[in-house]
Amino acid sequence: MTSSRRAVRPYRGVHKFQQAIGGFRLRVTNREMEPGHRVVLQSTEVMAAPVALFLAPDNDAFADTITALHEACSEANVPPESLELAVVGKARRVRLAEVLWRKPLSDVAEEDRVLNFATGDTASRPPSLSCPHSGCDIAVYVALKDQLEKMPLRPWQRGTWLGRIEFAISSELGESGPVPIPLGPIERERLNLEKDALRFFQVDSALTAGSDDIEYYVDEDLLERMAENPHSPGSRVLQRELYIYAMSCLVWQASAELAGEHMIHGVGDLADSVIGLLLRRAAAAAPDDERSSLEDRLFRLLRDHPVELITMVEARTPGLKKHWAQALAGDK
Amino acid sequence: MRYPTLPRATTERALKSLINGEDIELDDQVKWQMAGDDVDLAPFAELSANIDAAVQELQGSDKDAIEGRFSVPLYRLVKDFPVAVIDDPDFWAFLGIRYFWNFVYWRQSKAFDEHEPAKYLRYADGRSFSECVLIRMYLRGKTVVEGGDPDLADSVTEATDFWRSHIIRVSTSYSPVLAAAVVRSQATSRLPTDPLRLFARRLNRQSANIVTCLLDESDADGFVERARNLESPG
Repeated sequence: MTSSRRAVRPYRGVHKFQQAIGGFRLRVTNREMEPGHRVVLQSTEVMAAPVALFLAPDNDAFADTITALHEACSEANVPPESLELAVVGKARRVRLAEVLWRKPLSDVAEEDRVLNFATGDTASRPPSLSCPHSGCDIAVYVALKDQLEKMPLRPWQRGTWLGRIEFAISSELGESGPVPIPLGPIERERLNLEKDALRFFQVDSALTAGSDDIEYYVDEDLLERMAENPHSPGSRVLQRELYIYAMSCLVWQASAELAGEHMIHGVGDLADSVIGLLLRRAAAAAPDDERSSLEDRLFRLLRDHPVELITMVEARTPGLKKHWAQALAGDK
Repeated sequence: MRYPTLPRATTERALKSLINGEDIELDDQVKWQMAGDDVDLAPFAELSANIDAAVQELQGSDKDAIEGRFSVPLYRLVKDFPVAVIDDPDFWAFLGIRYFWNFVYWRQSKAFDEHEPAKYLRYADGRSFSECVLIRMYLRGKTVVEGGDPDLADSVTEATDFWRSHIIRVSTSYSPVLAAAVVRSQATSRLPTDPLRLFARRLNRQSANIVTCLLDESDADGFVERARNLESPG
């Protein structure tokens, strides 16, 4: 089996952890966010907005969540005492990952169901929530807190996560998603690309990669021209074209990896990887009672018909046709 | 704390002038941000003089080693600033142009000498955390100090691409203990280019399953050791 086809999360019961924490919500000021969603704030708001994680909407639902987590422990064959719930704030530009809160899973039931990470008080605000350019990604993990004995289909290494959700707080000053890396002569040589190569996409595991794990190169001259004229019709077309190219590469590679993968059966198993977020966002506009079936359909497209999925992503890219038409007409 | 910044347009004009050997007058262009006492800039002037002296003394040697050696002092000057200051690209642009221009130019002279903004802006305008000379130095210093061993900063020779592609740009940099373990392993037993890339791919793949910021030093060393065992299935 080649490395790219090896099961990357070969553990029993991980989908139950994912389901159990899938009901968590992040509240930023008065905006409530589902896992996988992003909110864009003014830079001053990034520095001041109250941020809280709701583990459940009420006490009854909280008790259900705790029960679901313990059932997941049983299925995974891991004692709750060996797991922890951890919340990590990540600021991209300063490469800061800050543990905002962590508790052994066996003790979470005794906690408040609402975890406040920041109030309006800037003096006590965590550094990861104080970056007006980076914004912040907030990840919640169910992870092993102890090293376990090795057993088949059971995680053993401390720090291994069994469930993960992410929320993103972006700043109007910053960027979101994978950031293009300038592609110049040095990069072309290092990556064994032709001297006129314009773009290149590289990721080790498309099924698990977060945005920081994706290397996405774009010709340095083109990037600079886009930065100089970000609102020109040509620039707008190119920005969207580059997005579609990157997502297409990701979909193709993820689809190929799924062909040799036996532990991933649906969008829930993709946790908050970029490919998982892509599918969830594509399904987000559907009514609540149809979203789950649409996610299933999108997952089947990823597995069996990636071209159709890419067409769907393109169709849902805002403003694409309008900007193509403007560019073709030579509009300013 | 009040701190100085250079707006992007000013940075671009200033860099163009500096590359052409022209004098620049920055004082009227500087924008001060936040409130309170002004940041003490004298230590930056002192550090800059020390770096320039080292460059003169060691002209022609491993440029990256100089960058590594002074990354820890730079980190220590900045580490207690509010994180919002460190997060501000325009602050780094100010520092690079006002205090560290000689070093920044020397470090990336090939790019600056092409006189094309597309080639050189990224090294000085503060936008790219993995390319801007001063930000990548800060992150390198942060990695080795928080990783527990400041001496690691220049322990790998000719390490420009190693630090950029295998530490700072990837998620390894979110965990100083893991990053330090990677540097330690390369300093102790240097992998040539192709095996290094293979190791990095394995490490990144394994990291996808781990909350790396929860690892301690012993976990991180074991983690890196397993990824470096290129004979194993990985």
